[in-house]
Amino acid sequence: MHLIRCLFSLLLLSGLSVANALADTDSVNPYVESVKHKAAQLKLSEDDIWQRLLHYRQDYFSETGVSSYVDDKRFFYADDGHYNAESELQKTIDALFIKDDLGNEHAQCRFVYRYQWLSQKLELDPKKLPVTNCVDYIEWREQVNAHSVSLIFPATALNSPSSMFGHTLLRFDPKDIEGGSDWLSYALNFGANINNDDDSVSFAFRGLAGGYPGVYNMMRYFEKIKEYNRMENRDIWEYKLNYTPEEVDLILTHVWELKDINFDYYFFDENCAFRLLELLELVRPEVNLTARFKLDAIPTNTVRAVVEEGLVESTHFRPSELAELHARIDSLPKSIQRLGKELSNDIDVMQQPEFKALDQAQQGEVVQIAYSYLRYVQLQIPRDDEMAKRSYQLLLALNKLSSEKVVVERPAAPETGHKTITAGVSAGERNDDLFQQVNYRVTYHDLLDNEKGYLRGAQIILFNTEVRHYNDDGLKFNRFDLVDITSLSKRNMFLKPLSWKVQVGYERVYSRNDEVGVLQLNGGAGHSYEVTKNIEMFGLLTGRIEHNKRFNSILEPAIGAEAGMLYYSPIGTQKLDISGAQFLNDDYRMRAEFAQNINLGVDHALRLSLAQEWHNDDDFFDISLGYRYYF
Amino acid sequence: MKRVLLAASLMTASLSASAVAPGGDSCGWGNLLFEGQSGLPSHVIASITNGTSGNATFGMTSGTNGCSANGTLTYGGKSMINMSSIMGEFSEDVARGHGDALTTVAVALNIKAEDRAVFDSVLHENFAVIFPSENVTAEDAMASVLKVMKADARLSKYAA
Repeated sequence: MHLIRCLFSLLLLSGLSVANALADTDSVNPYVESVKHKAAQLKLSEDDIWQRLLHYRQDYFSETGVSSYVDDKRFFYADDGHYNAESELQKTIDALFIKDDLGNEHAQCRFVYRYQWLSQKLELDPKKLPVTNCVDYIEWREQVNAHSVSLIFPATALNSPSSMFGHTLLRFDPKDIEGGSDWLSYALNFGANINNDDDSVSFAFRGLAGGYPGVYNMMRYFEKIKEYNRMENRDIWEYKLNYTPEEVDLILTHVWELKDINFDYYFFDENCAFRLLELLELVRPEVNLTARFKLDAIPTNTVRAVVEEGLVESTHFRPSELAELHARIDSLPKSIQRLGKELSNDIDVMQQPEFKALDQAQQGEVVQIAYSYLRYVQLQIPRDDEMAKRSYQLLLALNKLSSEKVVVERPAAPETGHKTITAGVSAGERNDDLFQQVNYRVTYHDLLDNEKGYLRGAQIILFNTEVRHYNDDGLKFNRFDLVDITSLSKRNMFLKPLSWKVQVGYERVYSRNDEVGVLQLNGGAGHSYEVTKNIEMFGLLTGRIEHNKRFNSILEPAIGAEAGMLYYSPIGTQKLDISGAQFLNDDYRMRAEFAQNINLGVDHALRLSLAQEWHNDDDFFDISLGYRYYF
Repeated sequence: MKRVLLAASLMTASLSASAVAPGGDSCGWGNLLFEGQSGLPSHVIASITNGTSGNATFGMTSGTNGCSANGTLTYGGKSMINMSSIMGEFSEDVARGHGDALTTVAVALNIKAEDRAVFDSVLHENFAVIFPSENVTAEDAMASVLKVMKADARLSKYAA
């Protein structure tokens, strides 16, 4: 942090010197004045490119009707540059002609795109412009050395709510990438510049409400591969874009202008994905990207937009290290898996007859699994000297045996899955009362939805609303889920992840002879197992806190359990589920449900549900059939 | 002709409070490769906001993982990559004789496409020389790589 502060004060100082230099240009330079006049006549400040370069957007509260997304004085030369395009243009021209030796801080070096664009539009005479030496910019451009650009999408991971909607970044590759290594390419990331000392609650709050500055940063791509593929067990999708080297060059010219510049950062709209779309649009004004995301920019949707606009040339899937480990485990018979597990704990297993009986290729696989497993374990624990030694010995053995590169089956790409908003109509019967229902979900996927392009066992729902009309009882606000997340990650001989769920919202429940609306928070934790390739079973211990006006206490706690089975059938996902909760006040609820999603297409589905409920004083049967549309 | 140098890095100070090197200021391979990620919680939190924490860079430096940047691969004095940051992947690839990390180092050493297979196999055969123990430092491993290359007729020109 100390260094950041130092940098900041340096920047302040350089900002001051620019301001001083601007003051010095009061002695009127006739050429500069003529250029400024020409710019005004041509109405350059109204040009789309200029507006985009300054990141202007419509803003009804601004006197000019626009304001910039950039919240950083260092990005503007004019005091009112934040919202006044003309005044920023005029001051920028002044700055380009400053004769003082400002080195890398000269406007020509600092705002290269603006400089190039104005030079071209105003046909600036190079002989009349001060000579600058942009060492930093030139060095940076040589180092980045880009020829093509890819949109990178680290997907969602099970058990990681922080990865909820995925993330996007850009990767800039040199010309000879095919024969070289994309590990050394540069990745451009837009993210919140966070403080390591903050706790996670204030992170979440400030991420949503604002308060973190968003900045671009660039690093070697392998740092990102390590971060996502290894540390967070996330698959990475790479979309090579059909931008020409000239367009890539222009994007980078503007990226440099954004170096160390602060934006406000918000999770939902002004996030990683949105900022990258702005860059892609800057050099291809004809594509329609940012306009699609007025309220939220969920990374999968931005990827979908980029694909729909025809910007993608090819797609590459980079599985996580965990996915590779799973694939290796699944490729071996149980007996050999067990040997690998034992070997990870005890290096002497290699001397056992059972190991020696294997052929060399199988021995290599066993050693590789043991090593990969230890690598996975070491992520989560402090350094262990003994384990380090064992890992090394396994590598020595691997060196003599070798192993093949594992092939992870490529799943359907995220953008090929169903869209993220859901609306539906359904009809059904609850005991003898007929009902019709409409539902609307802002985002994004439940366990039963078409699995194509999504992660099995992961459910993330925000803002799910159901309104029901009973023929006998009129209109009812049936439920509202603020958040509803389930993460079912399968366990095997090696990996023992926890499955869990958490849900908070409003729902109508039957309680003491009547249906009442309650506010509730519930959650659970347990285990999931894959029975066959398409069947998963899970069991959770659950807890619930309910605010129910029919109960005596304001908040009534309950404990319970849930068990279920998911079958990914050819026509759609099936779920069989039984759950029960026992309240502290002796009330209980049990529910058994069979539900089937019938995939009619990627964005259309039928949903059938049959349920039976048991309460202290009554039973219910509930059946419904509905149509769901994803858009 | 680009020359390969092993140079002490400009960036010896750690920018990240979370990554404290357990083995002193010269992080060995063992310390990095077989280290539990003490920085994991802050890492996970960083991803909540897709954040960058304090050690954001703009591509001008190689990053140090909280260790002194011994073993930095450089071209003509410019830092290229810090070997210690990919030692885990590199050692596994050398053990097997193939992989992305091995290719990356080959590219960083400017090894031409026609010599890559030789590079892979020579390093593979010398795994125990390059990585003599679990406590080898990135600097020593890199020095051994160059030594092994010098001893090979096809590769010696890249290690000059």
